[in-house]
Amino acid sequence: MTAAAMPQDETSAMGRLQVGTFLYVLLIAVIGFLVIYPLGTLVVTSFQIGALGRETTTGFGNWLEAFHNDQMASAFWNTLSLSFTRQFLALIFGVGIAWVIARTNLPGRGWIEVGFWIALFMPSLPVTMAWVLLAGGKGGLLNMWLHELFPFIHGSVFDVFSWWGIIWVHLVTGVLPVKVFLLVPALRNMDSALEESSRACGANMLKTLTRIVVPIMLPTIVMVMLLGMIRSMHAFEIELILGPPANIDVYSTLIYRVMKQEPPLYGIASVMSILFVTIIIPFVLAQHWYGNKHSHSTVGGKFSLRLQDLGGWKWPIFWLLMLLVLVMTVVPLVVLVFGSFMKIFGMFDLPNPWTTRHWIAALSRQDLKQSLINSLSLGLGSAAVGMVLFSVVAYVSVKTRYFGRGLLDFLTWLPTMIPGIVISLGFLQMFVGTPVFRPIYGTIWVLIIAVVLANVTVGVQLVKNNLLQLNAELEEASWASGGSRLYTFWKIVIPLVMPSVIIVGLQTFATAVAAVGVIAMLGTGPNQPLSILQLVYLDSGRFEPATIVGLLILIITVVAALVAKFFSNRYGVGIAKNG
Amino acid sequence: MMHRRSFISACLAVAIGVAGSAHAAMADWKSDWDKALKDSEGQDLNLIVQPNEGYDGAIAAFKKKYPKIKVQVTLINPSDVAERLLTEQKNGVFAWDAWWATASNMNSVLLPAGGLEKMTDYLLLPEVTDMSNWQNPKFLYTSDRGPYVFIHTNYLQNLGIYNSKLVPGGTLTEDQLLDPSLKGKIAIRAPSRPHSGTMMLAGIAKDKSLDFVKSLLTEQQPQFNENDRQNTMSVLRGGMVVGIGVTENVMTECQKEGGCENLKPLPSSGYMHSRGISVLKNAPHKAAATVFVNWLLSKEGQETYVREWAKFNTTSAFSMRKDVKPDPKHLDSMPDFNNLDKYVAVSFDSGEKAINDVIKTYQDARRK
Repeated sequence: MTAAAMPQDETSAMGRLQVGTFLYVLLIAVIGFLVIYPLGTLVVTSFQIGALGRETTTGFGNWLEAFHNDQMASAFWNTLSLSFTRQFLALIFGVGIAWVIARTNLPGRGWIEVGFWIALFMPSLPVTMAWVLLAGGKGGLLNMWLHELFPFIHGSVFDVFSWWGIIWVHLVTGVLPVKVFLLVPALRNMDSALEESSRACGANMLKTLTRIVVPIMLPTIVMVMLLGMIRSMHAFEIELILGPPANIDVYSTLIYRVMKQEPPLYGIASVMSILFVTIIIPFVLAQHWYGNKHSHSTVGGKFSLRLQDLGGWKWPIFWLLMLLVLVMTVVPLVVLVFGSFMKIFGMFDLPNPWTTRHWIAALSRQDLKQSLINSLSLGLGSAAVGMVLFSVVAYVSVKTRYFGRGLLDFLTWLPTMIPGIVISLGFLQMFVGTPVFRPIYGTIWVLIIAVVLANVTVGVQLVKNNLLQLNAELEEASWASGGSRLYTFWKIVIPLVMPSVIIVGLQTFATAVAAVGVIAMLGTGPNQPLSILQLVYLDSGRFEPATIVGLLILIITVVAALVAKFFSNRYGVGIAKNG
Repeated sequence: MMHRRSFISACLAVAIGVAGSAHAAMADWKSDWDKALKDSEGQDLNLIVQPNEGYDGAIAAFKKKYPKIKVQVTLINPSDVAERLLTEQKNGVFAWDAWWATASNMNSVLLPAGGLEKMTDYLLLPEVTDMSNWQNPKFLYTSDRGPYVFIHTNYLQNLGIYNSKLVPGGTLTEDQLLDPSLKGKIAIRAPSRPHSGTMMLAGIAKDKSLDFVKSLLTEQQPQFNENDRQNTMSVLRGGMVVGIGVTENVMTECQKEGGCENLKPLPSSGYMHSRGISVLKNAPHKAAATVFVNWLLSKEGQETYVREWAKFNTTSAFSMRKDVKPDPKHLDSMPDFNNLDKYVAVSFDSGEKAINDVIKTYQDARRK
């Protein structure tokens, strides 16, 4: 921003500055309160010895007890090794896949990208259940078929209840699709001149990719990897289902078990969460440092996007990616549909394993209809609130020079650092412990606030990336014409970033509909959404209705993915290229 | 003569007095009941129940009978909601009226924390308050600490199975659970809190000893699952030989459908579980709660419960009420009402200790 471009009239500028400053302080206060309060409760609870809700004393007992927990070291190692491995694999394949989608003449690349979007939006719980049905030990469908085809094969060839099984399910339910989701737009913004020069100098496709594309894209790749690592480290649901049979605990499931035992040791869970935050903070700081060091740039005048010819690799890569997309989307969907028509979920060796009675029972339930309405309300409410909040925070963070805006940016990272189930407890204490929130406790608004806060990191980062692509000249022109900062934001900035804001809204919608951990302690009868209903059914061992509820969630999120992709294609939404 | 007249007069006076006070008492409960009915009209009833169609059917019948009460049902497992209720209450949030579920968490978590109302303040109908209508009144309330959790059904449960095809000789005894050949082949629902896995182990501890359970949890290197269904499936499909803490209906359903012929119930006396009702502290809709608990514990309510429960479940469709006929298919799970002391009563104070011992043993074992 140039000094000459600042709003002209001094008096009105002062007035606007004060209003702006007031709004900024209000924003930072609200975000700070909502984010810090749950964290504060963690700190307080970590010193409360005894079960929450009953008489407690104050002391360091929880800290001592946590450090004496022998499982912490192995859980920590599992968390790190699982996170690194899947991030590493996802990055290698993700960069390659994103490149062929964005930069080559791969047939059907638009549809393949849609497939990755759908895979990204699909909720992990039902998809994990589908993989259990397919590859859950000896009784998994794949192993049964293998044994029938090759009777000499015994035992489980495919077993999702294993270290590699967890990696696989993570890769296909989100880790790989999110890489493609984030990298494709960035790659599309890359000038193709360098690739063409490389090819002209005789480098083959692989060499061009590794020697030219990857170095140019390195800042974006590093950012995507750090974001992925942070999110990977508190992955929860997949490990909760697939980990126990293989005796694999990760940090978040260890915290969950401590919270779920009798009496629940919230104090120790809080200590573990604080340690967890401490471990993650370096990754967040690294992300900040790296992001600041490598400045963003916009598409220049010499930009050209000429697609690389894949030559003879065109069709083999096409079929390989189609297969991958099918495995990530259609296979779990079909398996779940079949599972929902089974008399006993997963029992194929009954004389007649099929029935429609679970569907009839589910569809006649009043609470299912109510939960469906609640889920849609939660999704729409979270999307609406999220779109406004994320845009404002991103704008303040990127386009203003207020003192401490870095703090605002940092605050938006905090909810990502705490496992969902723990922050849910913090939210519960905030909502019941703060008089201003008590009137809305038990309503859908409690869930909306929780979901929006849980999504604030990704939402703000996505809008921020889009804002960074905007040239400041447009805003400066508005200011030069007498437009206030608010007017400029509303009339100039918002229309330009609207497509990405809409996508963030749809992503928030899909996350809200599938949210489990973060709202686990907050859902009640009148506001209970489908995701919590599914969790209740799963927890009580009733997989058949849980599958039906999971399918409904899946259908809603797939529709959201398709709408998001439609917007993306229509308005060319992208993530900024770095460096 | 005078003595005789005096005696007759005195008898008459006593009789009139008794009749009068009985009439007054009747008038009292009647007026209280009528008032509760009137006040409950238009009120919400915020009810917590476990997810099971058996509850749903009974609640639907209640809604039909009392259409002016707006019943808001929250489906949630007792162990998931107990601490949350305490957190709410500690912060002055009293959102719930009644809790109808298996009663171990009511007794072990809410009751000691003062989170429940005395049920006696809510019971009005004479057919409910008359203890002669109930089997073994000593086992109607879960605790000596007071009448807070009313049990309408005590039932036997054995949530353990084994695969007879994978056991030498086809039969497993309780002693054989420590056989080295079963090392790594036993799936146990992690006994970290009061649920089916913990309760089964409490039953085994009563049959054998706590040391036996300790060996089972450590030397046998079992597979611990968090979820009972997952635990069941690890025996049904995953190659485990024994499952401790399995889903109640899956095995029965499977055998009914012509499968799972190799699965047998674990040779253990199991435990006695209890289904009951409590009113939450400072219930916001006292009148609606009063109407519900009285209806549920009445003959009509219990007959409805037995009928609906039998439709969707394989055990416990009977009542502690003497005047309610049990479902004939559920008699296997009916305890000897006159000798309830002989069971591990997991929802009662006595069972709470047995449960806590198992949980502590498990936690110690995990720490090591």
